[in-house]
Amino acid sequence: MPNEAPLSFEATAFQCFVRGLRGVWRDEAYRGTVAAAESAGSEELPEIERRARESPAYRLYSWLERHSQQFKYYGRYGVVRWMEQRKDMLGKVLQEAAQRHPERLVLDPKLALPDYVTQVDTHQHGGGIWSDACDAFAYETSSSAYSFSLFNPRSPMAVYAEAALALAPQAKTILDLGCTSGGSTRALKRAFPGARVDGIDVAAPTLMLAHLRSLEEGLEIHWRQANAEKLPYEDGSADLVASHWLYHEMPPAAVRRSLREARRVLKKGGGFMAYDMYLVPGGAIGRWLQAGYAARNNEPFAHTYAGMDMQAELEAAGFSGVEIRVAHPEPDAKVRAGSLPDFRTHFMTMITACAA
Amino acid sequence: MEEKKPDLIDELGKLGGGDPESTRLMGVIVALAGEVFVLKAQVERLTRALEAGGTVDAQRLAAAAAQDGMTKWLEAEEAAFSRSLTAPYLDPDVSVNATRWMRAK
Repeated sequence: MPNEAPLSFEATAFQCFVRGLRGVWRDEAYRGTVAAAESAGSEELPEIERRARESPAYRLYSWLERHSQQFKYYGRYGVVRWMEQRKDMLGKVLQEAAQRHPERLVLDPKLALPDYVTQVDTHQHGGGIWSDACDAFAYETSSSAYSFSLFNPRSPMAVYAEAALALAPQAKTILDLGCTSGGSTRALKRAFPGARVDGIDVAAPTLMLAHLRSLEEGLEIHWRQANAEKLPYEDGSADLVASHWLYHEMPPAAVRRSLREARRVLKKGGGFMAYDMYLVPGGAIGRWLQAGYAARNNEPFAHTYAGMDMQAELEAAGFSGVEIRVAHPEPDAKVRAGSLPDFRTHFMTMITACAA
Repeated sequence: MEEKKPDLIDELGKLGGGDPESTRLMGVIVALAGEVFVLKAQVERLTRALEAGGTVDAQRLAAAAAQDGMTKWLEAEEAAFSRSLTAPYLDPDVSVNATRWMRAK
C-alpha cells in the first residue's frame, strides 16, 4: 500500500517510543493491575476500581491507557501532527482519486453525522475519522501500526473474510457497514471476487481513502456514505450484511436501529455477521478492565455494547440461528477456564445470524 | 444516613486514575523521554552513517555550527522543545471526556 505521507525518521522513532509505552501497558502494568484487582476480593466493579487505585501498577496502567494514545496522535512527533502539516497535499490526493471511477464513490454531503460520532472523539482522535483528509490518513496509519492484531499471527481481516465465506458462500450482494478506510471491505471483495461489495460509512474522508486504496489494488468496490441506521438500499436486496468493529462505536438505540435496517435490506435467509468486541472473558475483572478501556480510550459504547443481550436483540429484529462466539484471538485453556490472559488484549467476538 | 455507593462510571470518569498533579508531571516526563528516545535514534543513525565511511573532525563541526541553517534550527527548536515539554503540564488531557456516553441506552 503506498504511503502518501511517510513519517520522518524522527516521527517513526517517536512512534516506536509510544509503542514501547504501550508494551508496558499491555504487559507489566496490566499484570500488576490484575494482581491488584484480584486482591480486592470483590465481584463489585466499583469496589475493584477503588481498591486497584491503591496500586502503582494500576495508576501507571490507567495513565498509559489514556495518555500514550494522546502522545501517539498529538505528541510533538505524533501522527496527527505529522498529517496536519501535509493536510493540503493529502486532501488533493483524495480529491484526485475521487475523479477515477466516480461511479464507485457515492458521497452524501447532506448526511447529518450522528452526535455519538461527532461528540465522542473516538480513540481520543479529535475530529475522529470524519472531519478531513488528515484525519483519514492518521486513522489509517495509526490503526495499522497499533492494532492488537499485530500481536496475533492471523490477521483479523482473514478471520472476517473466512467467516463470511462460511456464512454465505454464494453471496452475490454484500454490504460492509462502518467500513472506515475499507480494510474489511477489501478482505470481503478478495474472498468474493464475483460479488457486488459495498462499503458503507458515515465519514466521507475515510470513504475517499477506502476508494483510493481499492483503486490501487484493482478491486471493484462501491463506497457509499450513509448511516447504518438508515441504509439507502432496497428491501431484500442483500445476501450478506457484515460489519467489522462497528457496533462498539454505537449506542444501544442506534445498534437496534441498525439491526432492523440490516434485516430489512437482507433477503430472507441472508446472512448477518458482526465482528467486534462483545464477549469479555475474565469475569468481573475482565468486565472492569473493559469498562476502563471504554472510558479512557473514548470508546464508551464498548461498555454499553458488551451489556446488550445480542441474542435477544437480533431475534427481536427478525433474525434466527444466532451464534455468538469468541473468534480472535483463539482463547487458550486458561482463558476458556475463566481466567484472564497473561497480557492485555481484546477478544473479538463473531456474531452470526440468518434473516428469518 | 446510608453512604451512597460509588458509581463505576463516575469513578472511571476521573480519567487516568492518579492525582491531577502527578498526571501533569507524568506527561512532562514522558514528553521529555520521547525527545530522548528520538535523540538516541538520531545518534544511532549518525553513528552508523559515520561507521560506514564518513568522518567528522573539529573543523567540519565548527563549519556546520556556523551555517545559517543551524542557527535557524536552534531558533525553531528552542520554542518547539520547550513547548512540547510543558504542554502536558498546562493541558494534561487534550481529549474530551466521553464517559457520559457510557450511560447511553
